[in-house]
Amino acid sequence: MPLLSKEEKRNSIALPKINQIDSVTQRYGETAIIRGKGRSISGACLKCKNPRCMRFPEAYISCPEFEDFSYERNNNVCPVDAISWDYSKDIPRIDHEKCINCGICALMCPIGAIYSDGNKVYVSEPRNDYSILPVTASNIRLQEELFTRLMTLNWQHRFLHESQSIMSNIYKKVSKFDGRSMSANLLIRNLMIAVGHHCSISRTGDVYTRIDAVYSDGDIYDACYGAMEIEFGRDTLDASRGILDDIAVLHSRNGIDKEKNTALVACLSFPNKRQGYFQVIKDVNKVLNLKIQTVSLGALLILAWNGIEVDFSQKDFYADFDNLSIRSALNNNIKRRVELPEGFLGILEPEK
Amino acid sequence: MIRFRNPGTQYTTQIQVFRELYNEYKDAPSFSLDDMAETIARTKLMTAYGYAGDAALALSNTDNDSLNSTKMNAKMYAEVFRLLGWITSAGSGSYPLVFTYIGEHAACTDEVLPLYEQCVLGINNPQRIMDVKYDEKVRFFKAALFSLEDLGGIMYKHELCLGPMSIDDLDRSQYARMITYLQKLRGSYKRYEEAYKGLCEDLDVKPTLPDNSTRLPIAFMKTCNWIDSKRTKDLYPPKSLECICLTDHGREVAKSLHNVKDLRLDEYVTYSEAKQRALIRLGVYSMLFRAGYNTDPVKETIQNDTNECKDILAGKPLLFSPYQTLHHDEVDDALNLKRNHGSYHRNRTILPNVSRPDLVINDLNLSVTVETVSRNEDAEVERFTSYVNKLKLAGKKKREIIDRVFEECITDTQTRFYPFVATLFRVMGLDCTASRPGDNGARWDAIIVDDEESIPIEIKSPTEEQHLSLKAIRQALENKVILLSRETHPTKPETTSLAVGYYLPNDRAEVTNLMIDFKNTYGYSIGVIDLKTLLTIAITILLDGKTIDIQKLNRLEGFANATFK
Repeated sequence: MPLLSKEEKRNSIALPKINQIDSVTQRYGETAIIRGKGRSISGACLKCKNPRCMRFPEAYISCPEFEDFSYERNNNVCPVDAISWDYSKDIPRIDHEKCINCGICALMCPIGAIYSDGNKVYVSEPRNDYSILPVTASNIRLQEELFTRLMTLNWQHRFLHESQSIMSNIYKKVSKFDGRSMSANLLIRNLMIAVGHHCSISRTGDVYTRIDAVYSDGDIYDACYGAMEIEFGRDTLDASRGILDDIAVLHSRNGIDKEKNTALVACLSFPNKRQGYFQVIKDVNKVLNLKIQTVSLGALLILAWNGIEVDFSQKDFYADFDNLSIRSALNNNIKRRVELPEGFLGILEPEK
Repeated sequence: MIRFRNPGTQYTTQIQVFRELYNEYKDAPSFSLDDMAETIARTKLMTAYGYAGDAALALSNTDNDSLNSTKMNAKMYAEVFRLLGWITSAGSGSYPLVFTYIGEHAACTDEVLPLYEQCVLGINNPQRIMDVKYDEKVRFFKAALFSLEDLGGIMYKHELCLGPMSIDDLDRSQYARMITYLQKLRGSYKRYEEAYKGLCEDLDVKPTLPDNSTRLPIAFMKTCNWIDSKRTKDLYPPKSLECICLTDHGREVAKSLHNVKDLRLDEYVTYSEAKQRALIRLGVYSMLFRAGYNTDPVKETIQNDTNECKDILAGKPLLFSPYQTLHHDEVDDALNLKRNHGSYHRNRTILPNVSRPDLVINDLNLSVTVETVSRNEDAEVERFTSYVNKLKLAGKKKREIIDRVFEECITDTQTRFYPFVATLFRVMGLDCTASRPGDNGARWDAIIVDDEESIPIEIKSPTEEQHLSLKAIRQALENKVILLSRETHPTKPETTSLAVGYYLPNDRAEVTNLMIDFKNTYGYSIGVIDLKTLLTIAITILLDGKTIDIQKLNRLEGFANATFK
């Protein structure tokens, strides 16, 4: 007996009424502007058949360099499940109660249709500038061709300009994460994907895997990859010990050479100088010749919000007791000064 | 009390495991636990001893099934999927297994959650599909939602055991008595404790068993977004307890369940065969319909069956999950399902030759020579020496003295234990000092100071952890790195870094693995000594006038074992 199918609720897809797209630009807090043949329109939801703002392709959440890593298969783009499909409008819907304003969904949107006013995230609906078409194989093919075109334009997403109030609000929401939930690890994984990497996190309840996450830039040649420890609590020393454990396990058991393991610690905020974390990181560099880089949630958000594909192979995000800041690395990446005061929320350096 | 075993509660992993199993065995006539274990391991959805894939399979491969972690993992998922009615016994025994029609739908959709929710509601007792039988006649999750509704939208997890897990929910007076009982229990933590203790005594089980039985139900309800957690003192003051609270969606689901025809096995068997077959079809199709499936292709069947059962249904939607209640042959037959198995060829894997390191690594020995120890006496060493001598004079043998001191230390906190460990090393003639508690500058807990080979010591007191863990090994590595970097005391890269604890680690194989990993990767040796070994060495030195071979200690790698020549 044949299986029953889900009701066909998806009725339409959208395509912009521009024959040849020449460029896409996006400013903070706005939808993208699509230009072509002398006219321009605002980015609006294309009602993608497989919405990129909701689910990552499987390849993004797995890292070929770490084929023995047992990873979490949840491929939701939103780390807090705030985005779902609104069948009545045939576009994604944002649950503002759940949404933490991280912008990852917006950064995944191929046409820049999702934006934030600083407090809430919105999905722009297609209006007269878009053709609403039935879901047919030929229309889906047209949409796929559009995605390819948009990809080749290599345009840079912009989501939000960092500010103290925006960051404070996000940190306030994140600090309410249930310590046992996966949200923190999902958030970091998804941000790593947003800044141009493949990233896998370990499965909840897998007591045998101590490595929190692994990442890879996906390049075939001269790939940059490494282990990650994710620490949103106060015990950052556990992260420095954990990363040495990760590097050793991967080196000894999985053939990932320690010299090639560009390991990262992702934390909510930079640890206080007195906690000893940065001193240990310095010791590790001096004795083991391993530069463990440290990134905060806020730093990853800023990089993602500016559409940056981060290259960790240069070890620009290395901070230790002698240089406690990653501010210059951020400034270099986004090609302007980060507008957050020194020590603010421990995003770029320890809090004062 | 009905029991829920303690299987994998992570929804995303459950779904992924199920999809992989379906992809692998959808064309097979049936599949076994071994098949499941192989697929789960190969798709890296489980690990064993830090390994995934074939290595995990090989490492967990043992004749004793209960020690085969991969197989136990597979069994855990088999129980979840059987409970959800996605797989079921192919024949009369528990294994092998087949996919059900509902299971096939679950495997083939992107949005599993609505069907998952229906299947969670479908769990009921009694049924004909599971080996284990319980006395209670209950659709547990419906009863739990109703209980939450009637208890102000909030419950403590053990109230699930005292309440909906222990009643016949269709017996209205029994249900009402249960609610009143729980309401009266509230307000006093002591009252709750006595009630829970009474439940465990009645069932003749340890308190952990009912508690473990709440894990899967809570995970199911959280996954379905029926409940979330909240810590409060309100229910059982003065204790602050993490409680489960009904969400808006949970409230909606509970509300909808008040107006359904809840059909159970006891009632089902009273109907004619024609009605039973119609109820099976209606049960399956209504679950799929509520989960968002298009039932138009079977509209006519539904219409006919609804007419056939109109007296039973009385205009209400049917809540009946045939695959979670009846043997699949009966359900398949009513649905007119013919299982056509495609060609399926099973490839058995040749497992790689890997073994756990505890099988090949021998414990290291500390030998004791017959020379006289020279040490700088200090107050602690003198105190310990006189205590040991006092016990000897009282007629105690060496082994008894060691055991006595060992037992006396079991309640030691860091402030007592760390200096005591340092004292024992000083008894051996080593210059060992414990760090001051809270001294963040000295990261190690004690250090053996030497002109050439100082040894940092990571100590875990029995009140921190009785068995040394991986954490101590990690910290021992960090101590080594710090000592080499900061050069506060002279040492050499090849000198060991010690971890000392009350007992050796429970999982010695994984600790050994990590020590090997550290050695392979960074070139540093970690030595592990438990208190009994340390006491044996120290007391032997005191009573027999022997000394320790310091070089052996300096190069200690792995677990220390005291031997005497």
